[in-house]
Amino acid sequence: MIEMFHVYKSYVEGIDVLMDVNLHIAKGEFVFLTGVSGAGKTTLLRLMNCTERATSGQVLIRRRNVARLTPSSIPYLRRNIGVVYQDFKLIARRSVFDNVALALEVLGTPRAEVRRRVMEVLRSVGLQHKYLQYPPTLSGGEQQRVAIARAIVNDPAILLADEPTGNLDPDMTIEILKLLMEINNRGTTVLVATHDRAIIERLRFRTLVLEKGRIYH
Amino acid sequence: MLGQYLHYLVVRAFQNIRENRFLTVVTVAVITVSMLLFSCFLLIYFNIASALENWGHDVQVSIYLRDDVSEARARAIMAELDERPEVTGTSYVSKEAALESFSKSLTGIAGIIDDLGTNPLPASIELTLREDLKDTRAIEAFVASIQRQEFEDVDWSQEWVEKFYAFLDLLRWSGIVLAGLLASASVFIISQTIKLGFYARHDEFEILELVGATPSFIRIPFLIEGIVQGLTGAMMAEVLLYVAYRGVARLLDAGLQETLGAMSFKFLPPSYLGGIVLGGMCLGFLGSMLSVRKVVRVGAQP
Repeated sequence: MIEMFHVYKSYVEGIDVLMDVNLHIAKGEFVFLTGVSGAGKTTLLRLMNCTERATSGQVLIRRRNVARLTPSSIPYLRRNIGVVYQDFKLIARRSVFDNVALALEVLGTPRAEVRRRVMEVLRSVGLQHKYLQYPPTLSGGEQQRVAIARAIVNDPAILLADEPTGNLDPDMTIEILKLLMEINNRGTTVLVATHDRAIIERLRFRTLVLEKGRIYH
Repeated sequence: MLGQYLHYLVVRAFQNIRENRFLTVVTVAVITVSMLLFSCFLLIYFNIASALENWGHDVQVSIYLRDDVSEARARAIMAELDERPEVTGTSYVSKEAALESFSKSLTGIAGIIDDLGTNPLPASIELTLREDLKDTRAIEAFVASIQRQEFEDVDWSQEWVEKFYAFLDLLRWSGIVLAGLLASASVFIISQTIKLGFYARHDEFEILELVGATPSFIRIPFLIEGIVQGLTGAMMAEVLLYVAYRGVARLLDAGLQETLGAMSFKFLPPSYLGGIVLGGMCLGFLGSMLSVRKVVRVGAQP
């Protein structure tokens, strides 16, 4: 599902953020990516969702070489990848419903279908009763659940979560991880970047360790 | 699906307008002022051009005859001129008739002419030219072609007509320059205000990109927004222009009717009003496009 071969990434010449990264994540896998802050976790995820290009090496998403994609085809690849961030990235002036619906609207999904699927996904994250509320009125955990709902509403093949529990208390953290595992059980490949060793030790999924730009399996 | 896609684009455009009321008001105000200034100019130009059109119907050529040309000879010349396609009417004004008309129009100096003892005014042939013959060069060519020894002078108010056309040309060019300046200023201000709206919603673009929005899905609502703002501004300009026109027309009507007879201060015809609305929409569209092109760039960063 996700493959990387000898991937290097540098922002300044001579200083590599990622060095000779090789990895393979199979379809339907749940994988943790860990490392200290600044290890390059976010950069790796950004290469996966085509926000950035590798300086060298190859990144394959669903067997498609990202380097060969034209700018106009990148949005279509992104529709197969749900992304969740530590800071939720919700639009504060749009309701919970509208935030989630956005991922379907860009596809031109009919309104009735949008309504059905948004309410369904909000029900699956336990927020169907808050669909008219605005993000600032929700707790951190609720906001992250809205972000997850938006990421999975169009049934993406891959879900990338960058420190999804970074801003949450322990109870909320467990709740969000359970939700991510449920999504994985439905067949979505999930990659969670976290620096929280406690989570990794507790859940015992395959873990990729990123240290000074290099991956250790 | 395409219909639904367009629906979302239009909904997003109106959402943008609603969420950025202040910037929308500023943009619409700029377009309104620009279009109003231009429309005022257009209204003045239109009325002057119409007046010229009316007066142009009366372009006449006066052929002053030498004293030794008899009336019979004059009428023979008239018959020849009547054959010309440029001429629609001829009339003969005898020396006596000319004097009478002159005395009537200038009653104060009639006594001076009486004192002369002789009639100094020449007999003349008055020609009325075809209505579409208003080009000074065409009239000049016609006048040159009818010249002959028996004519003392041929007068067709050349200077006046030339000055008027020159004035009209000046107005036309001033209008083009004014329109260009106003359009550039408007496009600049619109692009800047829309850019401000862009920065206020930068977070939204990032999210839209993440969920797989194409650049056009992000850009088109802003273009629609620009067109709507342009349309609103132009229509407001037309309403204000009409209000101003009514006020000025009421003031002018009495004076103009007395001095210029049938001429009246007219409002712009529908084709001009349609053009103003279209112009406003183009301004809005161009302003948006300039800022959208620069700000929205979707794709992986190298």
